[in-house]
Amino acid sequence: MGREQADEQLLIAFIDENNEAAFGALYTKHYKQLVKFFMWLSMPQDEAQDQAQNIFIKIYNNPLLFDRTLTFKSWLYAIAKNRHANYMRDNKVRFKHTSLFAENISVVKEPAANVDQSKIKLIVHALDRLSEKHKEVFILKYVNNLTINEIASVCQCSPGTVKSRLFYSIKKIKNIIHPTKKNVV
Amino acid sequence: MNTDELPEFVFDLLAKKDFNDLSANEKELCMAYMTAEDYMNYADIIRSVRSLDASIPVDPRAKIKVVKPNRSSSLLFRPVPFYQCAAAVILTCACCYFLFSQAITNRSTPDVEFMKADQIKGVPLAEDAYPEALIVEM
Repeated sequence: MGREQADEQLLIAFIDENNEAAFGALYTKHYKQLVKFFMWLSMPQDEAQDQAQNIFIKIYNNPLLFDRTLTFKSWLYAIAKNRHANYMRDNKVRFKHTSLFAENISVVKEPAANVDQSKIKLIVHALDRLSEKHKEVFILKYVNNLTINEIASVCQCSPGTVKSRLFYSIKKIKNIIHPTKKNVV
Repeated sequence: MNTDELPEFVFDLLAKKDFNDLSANEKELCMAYMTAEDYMNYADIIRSVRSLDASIPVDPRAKIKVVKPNRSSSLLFRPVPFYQCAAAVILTCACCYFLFSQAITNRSTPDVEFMKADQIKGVPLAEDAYPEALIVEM
C-alpha cells in the first residue's frame, strides 16, 4: 500500500507545489512498465513508446484530471487501456495479434538465461490465444504487478470477475503448454 | 470451484514462491483450490513470463521536455481563435456606429422646452400693436 501512497504523494506534490522532480520520479518509475504493457498487448515497440510518452505528457499538462478515488497505478493503466483500445480500433489490427506480438518478442536480444526458448514460444503462442480481456488481466497482474482491486478499477468490473478471468487465463495457458489427455480430447 | 472467491494471496503466492517453499499452512490453503502439480505449473508459467518481460529492452528515451505554461503570461499570449477576433471587430464596429449615430442625432435636434399649462402666461398686446384685421367695428 505504501507504494501507491508514494505514487499519489508524488503526483500531489507535482500538482500542489509544481514539483518537477516528483513528476520525474513518477515517469522514471512507470514509463518502462507502461511501454511493456502496450507491447504485451501486441503494440509495436515504437508505437508503444509514443503512446507511453503521450500519456505522461497528458498527465503533465492535466494533472488535475487525476481521480483521487483511484490509486495512481489504476488511473495510469485505465488511461493506457483506453489508448490501446483506440489504437486497435484505429489501426484495425485486432486480428493480427500473433504476428505483432511475435515481432515484439523478436526484439529480445538477450533472453534470460534461465528461460527455455521453446517454452517462451509456447507461452507467447498461448497468450495470443487468450481473449483481449483475459490477456489484459493476466498482464496487469503478473507483468505490471497491479492488485486485484486495481485491475478491477482499470477493467471496470468486480474483483470477483478479475479473479475468475485471471484463474481462467493461467489455466488456459497451462493447458496449451502442458496438454493433458483430457484437454486434447 | 468458484474462482470468483479465490483469495488474492493465492495469486500472489503463485508469483512469489515455488511449491516447495510454501509453509504447511500456505500449502493447505492452496491445495483447497488446485493440486500441487497445477500449482507448480502455474508458478512456472508466471516465472517464465516475468523472465521474458525482464529481458525485453526498452529504450529509456529522453525525458519529456515540456514547458509548463506560466499562467500570468499565458493570458496575454495565449492563441485566440479567428472567430473570436472577427466577433470582437464586429462588436467594436457596432458599438462605434451606435455611439456616433446617437451623438449626431443629439446635435441636429433643436432644444425644445416643454411648458406646463399653468406656466403659460398670456402675452399682453399693446393697443397700437393689435392686429387691425381683428378689430371689428360695432
